[in-house]
Amino acid sequence: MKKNKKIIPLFFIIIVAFFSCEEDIIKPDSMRITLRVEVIDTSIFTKTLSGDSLVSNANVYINSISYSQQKEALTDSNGVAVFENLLPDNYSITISKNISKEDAMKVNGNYVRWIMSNQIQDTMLFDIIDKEIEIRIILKLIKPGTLIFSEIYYNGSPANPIPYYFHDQFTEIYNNSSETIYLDSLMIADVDYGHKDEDVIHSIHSYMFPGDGTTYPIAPGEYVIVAQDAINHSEINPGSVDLHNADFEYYVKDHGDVDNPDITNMIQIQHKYGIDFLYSVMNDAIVLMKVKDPFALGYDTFDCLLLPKSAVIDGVEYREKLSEMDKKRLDATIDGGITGGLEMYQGKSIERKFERFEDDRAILMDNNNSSIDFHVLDTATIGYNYDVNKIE
Amino acid sequence: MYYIKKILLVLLFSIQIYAVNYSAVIKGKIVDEKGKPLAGANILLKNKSVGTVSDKDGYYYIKSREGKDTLEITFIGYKKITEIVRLNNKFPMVKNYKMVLEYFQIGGITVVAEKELLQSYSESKTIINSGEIEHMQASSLSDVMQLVPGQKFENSGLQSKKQASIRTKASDNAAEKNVSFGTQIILDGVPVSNNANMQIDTRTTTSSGELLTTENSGIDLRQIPADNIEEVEVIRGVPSSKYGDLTSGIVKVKTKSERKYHRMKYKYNFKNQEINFGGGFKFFKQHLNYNFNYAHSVRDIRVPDKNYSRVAGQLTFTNHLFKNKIRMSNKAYYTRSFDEHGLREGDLMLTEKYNRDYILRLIHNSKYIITKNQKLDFTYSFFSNNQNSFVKRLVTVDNTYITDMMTNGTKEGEYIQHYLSELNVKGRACNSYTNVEYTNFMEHFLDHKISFGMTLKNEFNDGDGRIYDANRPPRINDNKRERPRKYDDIPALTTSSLYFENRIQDKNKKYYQLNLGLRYDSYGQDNFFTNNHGKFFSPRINLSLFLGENAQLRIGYGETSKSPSLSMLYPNKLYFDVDDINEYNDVDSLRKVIVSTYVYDKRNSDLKASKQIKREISLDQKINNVGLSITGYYNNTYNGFASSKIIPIFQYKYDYPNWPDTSNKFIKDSVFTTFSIYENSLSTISKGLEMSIQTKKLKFFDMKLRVEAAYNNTYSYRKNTYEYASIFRVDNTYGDNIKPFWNPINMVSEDLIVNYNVDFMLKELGAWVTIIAQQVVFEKDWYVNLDDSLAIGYINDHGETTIFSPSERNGNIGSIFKRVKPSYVYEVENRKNIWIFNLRVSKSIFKGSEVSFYVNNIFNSHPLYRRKRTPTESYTKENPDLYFGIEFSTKINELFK
Repeated sequence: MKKNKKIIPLFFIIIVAFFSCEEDIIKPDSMRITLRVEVIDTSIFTKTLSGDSLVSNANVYINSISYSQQKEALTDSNGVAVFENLLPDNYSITISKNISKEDAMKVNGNYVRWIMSNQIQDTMLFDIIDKEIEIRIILKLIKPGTLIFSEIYYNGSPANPIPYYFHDQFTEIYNNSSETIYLDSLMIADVDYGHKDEDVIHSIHSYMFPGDGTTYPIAPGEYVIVAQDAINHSEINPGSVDLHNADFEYYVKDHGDVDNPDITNMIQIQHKYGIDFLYSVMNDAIVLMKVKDPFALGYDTFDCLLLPKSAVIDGVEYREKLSEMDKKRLDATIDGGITGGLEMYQGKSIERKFERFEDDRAILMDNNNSSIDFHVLDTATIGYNYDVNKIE
Repeated sequence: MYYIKKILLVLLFSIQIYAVNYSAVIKGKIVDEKGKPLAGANILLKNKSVGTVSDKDGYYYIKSREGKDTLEITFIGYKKITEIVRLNNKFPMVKNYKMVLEYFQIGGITVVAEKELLQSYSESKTIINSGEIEHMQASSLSDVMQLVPGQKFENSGLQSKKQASIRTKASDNAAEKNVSFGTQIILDGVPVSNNANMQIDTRTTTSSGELLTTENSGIDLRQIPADNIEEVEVIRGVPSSKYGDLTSGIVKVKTKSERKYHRMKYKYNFKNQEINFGGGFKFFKQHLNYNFNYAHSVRDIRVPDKNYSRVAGQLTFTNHLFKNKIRMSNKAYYTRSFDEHGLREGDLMLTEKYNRDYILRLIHNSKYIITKNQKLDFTYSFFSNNQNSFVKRLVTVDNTYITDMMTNGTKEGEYIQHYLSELNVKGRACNSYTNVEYTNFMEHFLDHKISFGMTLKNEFNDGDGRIYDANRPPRINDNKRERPRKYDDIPALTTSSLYFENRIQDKNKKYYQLNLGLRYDSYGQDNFFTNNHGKFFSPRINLSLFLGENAQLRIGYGETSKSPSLSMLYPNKLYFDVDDINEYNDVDSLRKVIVSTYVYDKRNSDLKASKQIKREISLDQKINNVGLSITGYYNNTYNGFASSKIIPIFQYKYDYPNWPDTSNKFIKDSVFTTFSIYENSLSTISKGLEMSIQTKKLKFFDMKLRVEAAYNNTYSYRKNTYEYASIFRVDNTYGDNIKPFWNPINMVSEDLIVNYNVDFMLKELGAWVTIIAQQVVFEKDWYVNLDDSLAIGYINDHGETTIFSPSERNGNIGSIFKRVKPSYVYEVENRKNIWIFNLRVSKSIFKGSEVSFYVNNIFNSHPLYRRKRTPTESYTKENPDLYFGIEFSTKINELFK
């Protein structure tokens, strides 16, 4: 029997292997911090208006990346916004201030819409000793977007009765400016994941608006709908949307797609796969761009079309998990945030927030940060249906 | 005449045995390894046919006639002793013997005590006996393959399909299929081929946990239960010229055939349960053996109706006729397997799937001993595998059109979006196999064993085919569609082979052994000795040089060939459905869709068999109780199969102003795309080094040690073929739709896997404990030819191919013709130093019964590996899960004693 001894240590090891330890995570309540954001503008605007460079009444938005929590505050007369009781985390901080018509007239003598803004991405706020952090941000003057995505319905309909129905996706483009703009030869493209180029995006699908330059005008405050399939989807999947009156549709030639002959087809520029131009129901980035020659940069090795970043007019990035800032496709020059946070096939939609009225025309928020600019709608709504009573 | 005389003489002598009074005596004592007397050993003087049995103190005493004779001592479980003795009348000869343990029983498990340190065969192979198989609790042949050096460890079980691969590590999907396709499984002397498997395209998604069929690759090893296996021989080196239709190697399975007991066995682990009942009877020199096996495996214990069940039965009848002059065996195998995926609650796609196989195999074998030196061996077999794959699921596609046109033509289609589709793929893969072999032993200065043989193999599939409603296809992708199909027009695949082999050795096998073989294979269609798919002369040479008693050098060279499968030769046709008129409307009556169908046959009548050239050299050395062996090999595979040949499609789109009258049709547009067919484009260079060190039982620790290291480097490359862009590209200067193509990018894989085996075989305790550690020292792969970035040419949207001249190619070609890979693609994936520890214990509980227990990945070690060839961070978890299982077996005869 003495030989059995050799086996015992092994069994002991097996038993030990079954037990593993797990540490309790201590909630970092005791480590809450206070953040003071000091906002400064070195341009002529603030100096002319208030004599110094401290920016008052600027909107400061902070976004906690791990907890997907958003807070906002206005800067006081010292140009400082204070956030208390913050959990240590990585935050993105976005500041924006509209220059009102009156202020613009005061400084420039004429009115061109300008926005002062800046953002800091993914900065770690953590201080164990003082528990108070101060950040100073200098604003830049930017021209706000003219044509913007006002709504992108990418989420897909709930199974009623058909599961995984995403053919009712649509894109709504809004004229946020005060002038009529022509859609002719603008392009809508998606952005492939996993490329880190400085100046190009890699596109799986790209479609161009037809027209000879002045065929498809869009007046200030007006919108157009681009449907994946311009048909009445509620007939197939009750609860879905009716897109048979859409302005444009993506018709994918020679891949088996259906064509509604009454609706103008977008021109296929790039189509790598699929029966349709499908926006991912989970994570994707959609851009609107004006490119002179979409084929000028050629293709990457995965047969994605390369398009210049500088040509992007507006871009929105959405992900199922808002905390995945590290997986972003668009950089801060296009979209510094992420919106969405939706499980697939909920029938929900993302829509740009209302900012203010200007000449009875709704001006929508455009800080180049979809974390701030967009909110989630419970149902897809064709057209910009702002509710004055609910304006935030 | 000489032989007949000799036989007569022997007969005369044997008559005399009773008449002559013997006066020569041989006597002595027989003891075991430890010096204890062995009672009951059989002692025989072979020439005179006189013998006795040792008494309880181990003594024996035989009286015989004077002269030369062969003394043979046998005892169950011990190594046979034979010695030539010269008896004389004057003095009694005293001969004492020590018998060495060969195998012993732990309950019902036969444990081979010692493996030879110096292998006695000239080609590299691994022999796995039933004891090892039972000790590891294998459920099927695939688990047994784990015991072959160089195989990465996996948990045993029947959850998913498993295929074999030998000496090649392929990371490319097509290369991997070729490796398992080229690994021949031989069941009791007859190849189990997968050539007639036509279960094409039965998968619904690409998720890994799916039920998969094994067309175009090796057979699913789950269909061969492990419990009735007597021995598995994995031939990695140059096989004998008896074997054809293979490239990578051979797995030879010998089932149990001459048992005289009845044994029951039960295995259990979380995911698998198995019961086996087997045994045999002997009556009048005839053996009837049976085995029955039922196994049930669940893929995920949380999900009902997602399981694999197998019922396997085998009947073997062997008889020895005319004083063993004719040995006949008839075997029948029956396997029914159910790979099921039932409707899951909450599955919106309403998926139901199964693969159900019904396999029947009949083998007849007879061996005729014509004379002492001449033998004739005849085998006939018929295998049939009724394969039934079923997929039912909701197909939701983008709103699209559909037509059920079966030939070229134009027809009104309909619009569809979603429907419930039901697909049945019913194949009946059959093969008949006939082999005749004549063997002659000759002494001409040297010993010759000469064999001639002929093999005829006929493989066909006459199943009902792909059955579904043409308007409700199992999937819709693009406008390249498919249709139902019958398998009744598929010709048979014939393999006709002739072979010759001479095994030469000098007398007493002292200096060398040389096997010379030549094989002729012709792969044809319908008739034997046709060669549509190639004919091959394959020489095979194996030479062993004995460098003294304790060392040998082995050298092998051989060529082998492998026929393509029916599913590569006769794949499903492509139906190109073009929407000439496509006008969707929400109102039904206003819809109009007119579809033209163009049928493309995807068969490639030029497809030939693939070929492998094997070279290997080994050195075996025995130093006292340690055996050392090193083998180097270098194998080239040519003309492997890959669906890589691109065929362009170009068609016009028409308008029909007077539909349904098509006479006034006019061209309004064109449509272009491509499809791929099988070709002989894949080549592989596989080289490696295998090293093993094993000891006999070490005196002090009662254990044996075995270390096996296997290094392999496989380079898979495509020849005479190109890598095409996945889409037609547009360029400013060309302005066209152009599909450029480049030289293919290939991959090299390399790994070094070391197995450390420690065996404690304690006969007295009836226990066998094995500790196995596997170390993946490294496992690498990387791309080559990445810098070859300029296109060779292009296909345009009229289906025309243009090849660049060298000057054009190196000149100023546009950016669409360049293939620039991102920098991470240049990285080498390298998993390093991954260990896994496994433990196996078998212990007898009473006579004929034992329990076995195993734990895999004892330390639950799962190192994370950060993948390098990905654009962003991504990790994989290494090593299979911690897993354990138990088994109990008992010999029923022993229970009631």
